[in-house]
Amino acid sequence: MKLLEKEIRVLMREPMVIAMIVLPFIIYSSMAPFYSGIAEQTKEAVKLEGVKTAILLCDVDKATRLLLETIVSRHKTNMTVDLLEGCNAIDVLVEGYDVVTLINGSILKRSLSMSLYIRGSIEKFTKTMALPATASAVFTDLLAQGSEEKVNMTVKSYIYLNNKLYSFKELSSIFNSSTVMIMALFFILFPAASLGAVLIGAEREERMLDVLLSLPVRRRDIALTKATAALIVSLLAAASAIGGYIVMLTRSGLEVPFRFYFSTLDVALYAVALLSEAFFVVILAMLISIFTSTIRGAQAVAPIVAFPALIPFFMLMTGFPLSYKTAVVPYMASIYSVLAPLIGRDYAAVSIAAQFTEALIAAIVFIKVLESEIAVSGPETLKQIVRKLKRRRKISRVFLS
Amino acid sequence: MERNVVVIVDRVEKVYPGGVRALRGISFSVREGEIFGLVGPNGAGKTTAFRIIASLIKPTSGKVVVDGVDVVANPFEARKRIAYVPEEVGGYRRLTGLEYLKFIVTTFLRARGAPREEAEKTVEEAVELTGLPMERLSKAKMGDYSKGMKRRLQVAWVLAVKPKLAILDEPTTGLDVEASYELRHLIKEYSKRYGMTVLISSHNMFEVETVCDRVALIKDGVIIDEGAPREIIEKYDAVNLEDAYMKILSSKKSVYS
Ligand SMILES: Nc1ncnc2c1ncn2[C@@H]1O[C@H](COP(=O)(O)OP(=O)(O)OP(=O)(O)O)[C@@H](O)[C@H]1O
Ligand SMILES: [Mg+2]
Repeated sequence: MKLLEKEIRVLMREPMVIAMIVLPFIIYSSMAPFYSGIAEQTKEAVKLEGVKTAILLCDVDKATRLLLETIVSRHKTNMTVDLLEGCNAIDVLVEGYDVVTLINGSILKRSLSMSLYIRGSIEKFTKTMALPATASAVFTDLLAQGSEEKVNMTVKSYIYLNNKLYSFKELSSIFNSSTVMIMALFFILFPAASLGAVLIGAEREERMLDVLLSLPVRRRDIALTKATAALIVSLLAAASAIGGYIVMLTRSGLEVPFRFYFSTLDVALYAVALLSEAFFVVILAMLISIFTSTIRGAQAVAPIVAFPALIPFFMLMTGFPLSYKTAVVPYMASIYSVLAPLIGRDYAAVSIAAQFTEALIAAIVFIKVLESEIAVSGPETLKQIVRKLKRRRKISRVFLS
Repeated sequence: MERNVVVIVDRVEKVYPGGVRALRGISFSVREGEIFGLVGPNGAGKTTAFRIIASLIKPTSGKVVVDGVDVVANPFEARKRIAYVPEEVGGYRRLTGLEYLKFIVTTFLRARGAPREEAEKTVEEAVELTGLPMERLSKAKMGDYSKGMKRRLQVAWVLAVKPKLAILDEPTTGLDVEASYELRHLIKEYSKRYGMTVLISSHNMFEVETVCDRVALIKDGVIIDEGAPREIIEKYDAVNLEDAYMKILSSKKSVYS
């Protein structure tokens, strides 16, 4: 009990460990709006509330048409259904429908083919991906009501997204490929943050920071060489992780058709995006590590600068706020590059440029900090700040006593 | 012949962010090739003064000039002229002593624009100066060195690169008798032979008496006396510097309390 108490005390006296405990709650709880976004969209999709649909009769016989008219007039679902004539589903969709169901065949001959065209949206991605299943279920149900006998029905779903038409299968496989690519982000960001932190924390813990800072080396060179070293090693770590991941996927027989969706240029774009985010994260990790006195503290706090990279990932599921405004926000470069096959490369280019600029700004701040006295007295400076905050806000005495 | 003044410390004050007034306006100057000692009780402000001169921390007020360069205004230029051994010596755990010497000597000399051969020779010289066996330096990592060994490594590179100004904060603390004897002689020899200016702090009054050309006694961030060891001993009618030190301190007690 005594020993455990000592160990816990050692950990809890480290301000960065406290940060490690407190910050995840703040970060994750701040993601609540995204999650409620997911829930709402799924609900919308399931209930088909406010979903505007059209049944497009393309090649059907008269009896089928009449039967369908009767069914549609009696239907009791949350969606509005218009019965239209024609075969050009995309034109009808663009006119302002969410779902257009194109019907071919004959109920009497007990053979009907149904093609669902869904207007997709990156902004409401969850809904887009959920609609085909719920809509086709409702339509299959409706049509079945009109017939005495069981009708043979083939159902296909297509999603119309950014002027392109995808089969549902294809879009979900793009989505899966993107998810695999997003994994690479974490394979590189977490090692990058940790290694950047170690390179600063170790200097102080090994009592070499004063010597290093007294040498005639430009602060810019100290910052950039450390960042480069951390990046090189984290790239190795990421390469190993991605390699292992690919082996895992191929061995388990899962197909991830990257090549199909991501051209070499897209992959290169994504790599540059990753690098720009990793650079940003390394600099931030080093910046906060200036305030820690031990490797332990530095490493404890380092993941925090990689966490925000999760946010765009959640956004993708909830509905992505596609705009140039969100593209310039830090941590967005990789997601915009992953989406490039769907939304074009312009956003990715802007996002990467912004991320590099932000990394450079962070680097300049870090260099300024290295030039200032804070570099030498970081942990004491942090203590002063905490003390001031405590005095002002009277934070409970539990922390950092 | 008058020698150049290499270090000018002019009314330097330091108040730490926490409010501690570590230095209350100290002034002194050191000439080229001179060994200047800073002595005083724990917490007097010696390390603070050295860290300010080494451009690690900034004075709250006052001015420091090293070899004609304002340390606060132009730290990078100043650092080319200064090599510093901190009081708390450390070492890169995963580097061997030899790797460390190569790294630090090359880094220091490169800033001066020295050719590669000079760096190689200087590393050899530093190896000699450590007084440690090559076997140990090239095989064992610094993490396995004793505190004294680490300190010898730090002092060795500082002497080997022959900076305009060497700042040695308690360089012999923790060293065995033989090593501190050798080091004292080396510091003196290098200073005389290469005209290297040295700032040194120590709690060993015998050391200060034998090594330093001039000494300043600092207490509570104020220099209370300054002069050649011999002058101070005579002034206070003492047998040696330690005796003089005790006499000064007892006469100046409770200046600020
Ligand atoms: N980083 C710091 N932040 C706040 N106060 C400090 C800091 N470093 C030193 N001090 C305070 O400044 C005063 C002078 O300390 P300094 O280390 O310069 O003394 P010193 O003469 O080197 O002592 P010693 O002989 O023990 O090495 C002390 O009161 C010390 O507590
Ligand atoms: Mg000291």
